Amino acid sequence: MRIAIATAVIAAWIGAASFCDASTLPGSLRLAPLQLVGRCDSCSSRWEGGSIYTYCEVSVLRVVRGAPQADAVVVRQRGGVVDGLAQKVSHVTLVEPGGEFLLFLHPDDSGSWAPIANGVHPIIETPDLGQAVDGQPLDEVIRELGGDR
Amino acid sequence: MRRAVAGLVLPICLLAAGPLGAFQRETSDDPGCPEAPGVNCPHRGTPLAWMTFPVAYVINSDASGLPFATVRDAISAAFSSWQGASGNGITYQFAGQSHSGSDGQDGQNTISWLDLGGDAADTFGQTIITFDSRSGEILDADIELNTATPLRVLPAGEDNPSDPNGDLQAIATHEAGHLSGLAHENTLGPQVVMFFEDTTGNTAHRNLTPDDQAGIQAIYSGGSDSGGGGGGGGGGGCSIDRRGSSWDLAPAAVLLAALVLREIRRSRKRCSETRSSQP
Repeated sequence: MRIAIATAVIAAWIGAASFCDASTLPGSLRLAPLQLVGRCDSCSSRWEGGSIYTYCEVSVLRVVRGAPQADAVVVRQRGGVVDGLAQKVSHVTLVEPGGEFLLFLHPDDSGSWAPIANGVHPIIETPDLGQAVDGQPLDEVIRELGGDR
Repeated sequence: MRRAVAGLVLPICLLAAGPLGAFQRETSDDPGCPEAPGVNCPHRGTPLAWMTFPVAYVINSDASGLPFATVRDAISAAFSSWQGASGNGITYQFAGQSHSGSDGQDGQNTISWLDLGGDAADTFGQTIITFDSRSGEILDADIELNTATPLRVLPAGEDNPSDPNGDLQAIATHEAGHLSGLAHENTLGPQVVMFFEDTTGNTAHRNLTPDDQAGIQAIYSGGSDSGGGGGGGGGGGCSIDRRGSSWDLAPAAVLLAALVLREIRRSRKRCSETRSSQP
């Protein structure tokens, strides 16, 4: 009986702990033609019609898939701030200067690159994992994506 | 022994139930953060809110594939939910049919359909909020619903994952929450209207949960601002959940805890019966 209780409690604990598990990257991201690790060096925003768009210069640190034409790419996203007016899109994670990101990009109409849905993943430095994305070691994520072979 | 087990079971139940007052508010400065079940994004800066009322909106249903009256009724019901929950602290007004798309500078809050393309392929809809970056006053908000993910008005109470259609009223309720200044709340589970994901074939998000109600009251009715980030957090998306959620385990954890307690009670009963039958 004691063992049964212990097993149940441990199982329940594992169930509860799994609420905090990092989600794996959605499969749709693997289809992005350009996948890279980059550092955002600078951004500027402007109105285009009724929308604000932000253009960020991103230095390519590591290519996971695809072939960027240069050491840096321009990433265009909807949202930003111009002269005290700001615009945000409810589901968009913006690339920000100074940050490093795992990016899943496709070419857009403007000649820049745009993230596909959920295609911006900040890289953070953690004491236990080192560079991590969504709670997983960056190297592991890149291996899962088929990069660095 | 019972106290010891209860001491273990109670935290498990609390973990499964999630924190109270977890609603999140859109703010003027939200750092990037990929969302996941159980993960709210941090929020910085000034919380966003409307300061003039009613918040008027127009509807462009041209690309919806639905009769205009059907669309209008579903969207009006969505806004009514929030207005009612706020005790009329925020009021909305349907201002007519439109044939225009979203425009953050026209001062007209437009709900329209378009193909959101690769940038938002898995998305039912999105809300674009234009605001004063210093005061946080919302000046314009447009809702864009994705023609690539069919929305229909499903029968009330439908819960059929094999139905490929999203429920217009449920999705509109979520987006109207964004339009009103609420962000995603991902720690209380998918039943919360402002959870970052929704599924096709269910109407659950037509109904505000107590946390959603607390959120709208905090902004417009002087309710307790106990949610996260300036109020709160958000980000993420109004996306389609094709993966299933680890929050699905929450009821199982609670059930398991209940079974543990029941087993202990039975065991004690058996023990006492055994003792009483002994000579």
